[in-house]
Amino acid sequence: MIRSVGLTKKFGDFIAVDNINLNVNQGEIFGFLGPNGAGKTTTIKMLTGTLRPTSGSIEILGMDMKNRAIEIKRRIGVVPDEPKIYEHLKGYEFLEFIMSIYKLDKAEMKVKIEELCDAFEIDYLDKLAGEMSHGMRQKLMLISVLMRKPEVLFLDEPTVGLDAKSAKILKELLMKYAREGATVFMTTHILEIAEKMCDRVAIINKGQIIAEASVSDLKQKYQASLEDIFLALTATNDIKDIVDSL
Amino acid sequence: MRELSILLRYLGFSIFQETGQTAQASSKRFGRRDGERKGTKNRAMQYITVLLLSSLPMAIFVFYSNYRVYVTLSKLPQVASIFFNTTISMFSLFYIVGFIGTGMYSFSRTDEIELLLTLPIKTSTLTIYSLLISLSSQLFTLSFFVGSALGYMFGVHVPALSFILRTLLQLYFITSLSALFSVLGGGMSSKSLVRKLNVFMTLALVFVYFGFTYIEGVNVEQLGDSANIARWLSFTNSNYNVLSWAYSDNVVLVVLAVVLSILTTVLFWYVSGRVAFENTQRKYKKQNSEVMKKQSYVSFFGGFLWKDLKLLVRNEQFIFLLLYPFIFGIFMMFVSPSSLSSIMPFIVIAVFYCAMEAGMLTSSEMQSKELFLTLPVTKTTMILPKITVPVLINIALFLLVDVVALIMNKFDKVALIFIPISILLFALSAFIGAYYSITKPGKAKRQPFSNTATFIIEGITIGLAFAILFPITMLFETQNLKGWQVLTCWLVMIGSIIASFLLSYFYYRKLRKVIEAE
Repeated sequence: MIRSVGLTKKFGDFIAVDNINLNVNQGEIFGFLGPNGAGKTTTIKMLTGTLRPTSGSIEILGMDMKNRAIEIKRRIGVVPDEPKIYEHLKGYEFLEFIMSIYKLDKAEMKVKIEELCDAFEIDYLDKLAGEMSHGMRQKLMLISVLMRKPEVLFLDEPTVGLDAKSAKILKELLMKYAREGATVFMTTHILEIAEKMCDRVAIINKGQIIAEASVSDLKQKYQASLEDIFLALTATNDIKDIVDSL
Repeated sequence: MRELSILLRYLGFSIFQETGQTAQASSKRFGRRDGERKGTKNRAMQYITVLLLSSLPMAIFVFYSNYRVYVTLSKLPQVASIFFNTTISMFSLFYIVGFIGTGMYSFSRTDEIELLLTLPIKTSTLTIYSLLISLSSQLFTLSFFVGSALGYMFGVHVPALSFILRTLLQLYFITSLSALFSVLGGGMSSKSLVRKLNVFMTLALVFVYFGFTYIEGVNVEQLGDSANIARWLSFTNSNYNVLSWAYSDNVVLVVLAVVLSILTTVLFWYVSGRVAFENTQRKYKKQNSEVMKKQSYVSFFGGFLWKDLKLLVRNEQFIFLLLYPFIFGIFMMFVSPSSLSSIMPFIVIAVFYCAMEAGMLTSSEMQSKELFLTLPVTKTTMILPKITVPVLINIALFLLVDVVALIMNKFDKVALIFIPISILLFALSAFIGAYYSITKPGKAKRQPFSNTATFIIEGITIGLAFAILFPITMLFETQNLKGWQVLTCWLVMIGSIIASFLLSYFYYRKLRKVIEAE
C-alpha cells in the first residue's frame, strides 16, 4: 500500500530525511515516531505528494507518485498537523468544497457528515474557519477526510488539539477502518497511542530510521517500555540530569 | 498610565495590524529575529503616524475645497450655514457609525482581551485602551470633519474661539455618544464587519468630498433661490438635528449638547464597568442538517472558482477595490461631457486594482498551500480562477460603466475600442499580480505584495494603461492635432499595446514556472 525506497529530502546542505525505506501493508496501522525535527512531517509530506523528494521513489496503492500524483491524492486522505483551512469559508462550505473537488455524492455525504458531526460534537458548521480554534479546525479537517473513507490515511499528530472524547473516538474509528481494510500511517508524540493502536512502528531520528518493528517485538528486543526504548534511542542527554540541573 | 503605555507600545491597535505568518515564514524560515535585533518599536505610534500621514493631505484638500466653497457662499450666510450643518452632520454620522462598529468589536471579549484579562491590568485601563482603538480608527473621518470645520471658519469668518470650542464640544459629544453605544453593543460586531464598515465609510467620505468640490462649479446665486435644495437640507439646520446642536445659535441647544455629553460619559463609565468585555454575543446554534440544507452553487461554479468568489464577497478590501473605480467612473460621467473621460480614469485605476485582486486571491491560496497540495487537482485548476475572476469582474464593471453612459446618453462609440484594450490590460495585471504575490509576498497577512513589488506593478499596469488610453483620447477628443502629434500618439499607443502583449506572455510564462516549482 505505502512503499518508499531511498527516500531523501535535502534543504540546501541540511538533510531532513535520509535514505528512508518504508513498506506499510493494507489494513495496517503504522506509527511513525520521532522527536521534534526528526523528519516525520517532511516524510509524510513527501508520501502525500505535497513535497518533492530530492531522491528516492514513492509508491502508494501500487501507483508511482511521480507520474500519478492526482490519482493517488484522489484515493488517500491527509490530516496535517496544522489544519490550514481557507479562513473565509464557513465549516459547511469547506466540506462542500471538498465534496466538489472529490466529486462526491452530496446526499450520501451529508448523511455521513451529520453522523461524524454528532460523534465529534461539531455544532459550528455555520462558523467561518478563520474564527475557529485550532481544535475546531482540526475536527473539521478530520471530518473532511473521514467522510470520504479513503483507502489510505495519513495523519500527522491527529490527536493534538482534540478533547479526550474526540481523541478516543478518532482512535477507535481508525482501528475500525483498519479492520475494514484501510491503511493508516500516523505520526504521534504520544507513545501510549502508538503502543495501543499501531501494528508496527518506526522511530526516526535526525532523518534516519533507527528502529522498525511491531511494538511487542521492540519491547521484547530491548526489554523495556516503548517510552524507555524511544528515549534510549533518541535522547542525547540523561533526562534525570536535565531535570536536576533545572 | 504605565499599563496603558505598555499596551500601546506592544499591542498597538492590533485589530487593524494583523501581521502575516505564512508570508514571512517562507522568507525568514531560518533567518534572524528582526524584533530582537532592532528592539521593539512603539506599535501604536507607528500606526498613528501612518494614519496621520495619510489623513493629513486629505484634511488639507478638504479644508481647501471647503474654504473655496464657503468664501463663495459667504455672500449668503444662511445658505453657508445650511451647507455647513449638512456636511458636519454627515461627517459626524460617519464618525459615529464607524466608531460604534469598531467599538462594538473592541469592547467585546476577543482573544486579545481574553489574554489581557488574565494579566494584572485594571479594567478601566482596558476600557481606555479600547476607546483609543475605536478613536484611532476614525482618524480619516476626523480629517474630513476638521478640514470641513476649518474651511467654514475661515471661509465665512465666524468668531474663531467660539467656533473652536463648539467644534471641541461636537467631537466630545459624538465620541461620548459613540462610546456608550459601543459598550452597549459589545460583542455584536465581528472583525470583518468592522473592516467592511470602514471601507464603506471611506468610500462614502471620498465621494462626499468629490460631491462637495463639484458644488464649486454651481451658480451660487441660483442655489440660494432653489427652494427644493433648501427644503432638502433644512432638516440638518432644524432644532431636531442633534448633530448640529453644538453649532446652533440657540443657547439652549448648545447647553443641551453639553449636558447630554456629560450624561453619556457618566453613563458610559457606569455601564462599561459592568458590561464591557463580557460575552454578550448571541449564541445561535443551528442544527447541522439545517446548515447543510443551504443552497450552494459550488457544483455549478466548480470548487476553486466558487471558493474564490466567496473570498471576493467576504473580503472588504475586494469590495473597495471593485467599488472604487466603478463609482469613480460613474461620478466622472456626471461631471464630464462624454463617456471617454470617465472610462479612462476607470481603466487606469482598475488595472492596478485588478493586479491587487489577483494577488490577494493567489496569496490567500498560498496561505493554505498545505491543504491545496493534498487535493487531487492540478496547479492550473487552482491558479485559473485567480486570473479569470478579477479579469472577468473588471470587464463586467467596465461594460456596466458603458451601460450607464448609454442610459445617460453620454455614450461615445470610440469607447468600444477600449473593450479589447481593457481585456489585454486586465489580463496583464492579473498575471503580474498573481506572480508577485508568490515571489514577493507582503509582510502583512492582508498585503499581497511587498512594497517593491507594488511599485513595479503600479509602474507597469498604470503606466501602460495611460500610455495606451491617453493617445486614444487625444486622437479622438483633441481637434486640430498637428501631423507629428498624430504620429506620436499612434506610435506610443501601438508600442504600448505591443509591450502589453509581450509582458503578458512574459509574466504568464514566469507565473507557470513559479507555480510548478511550488
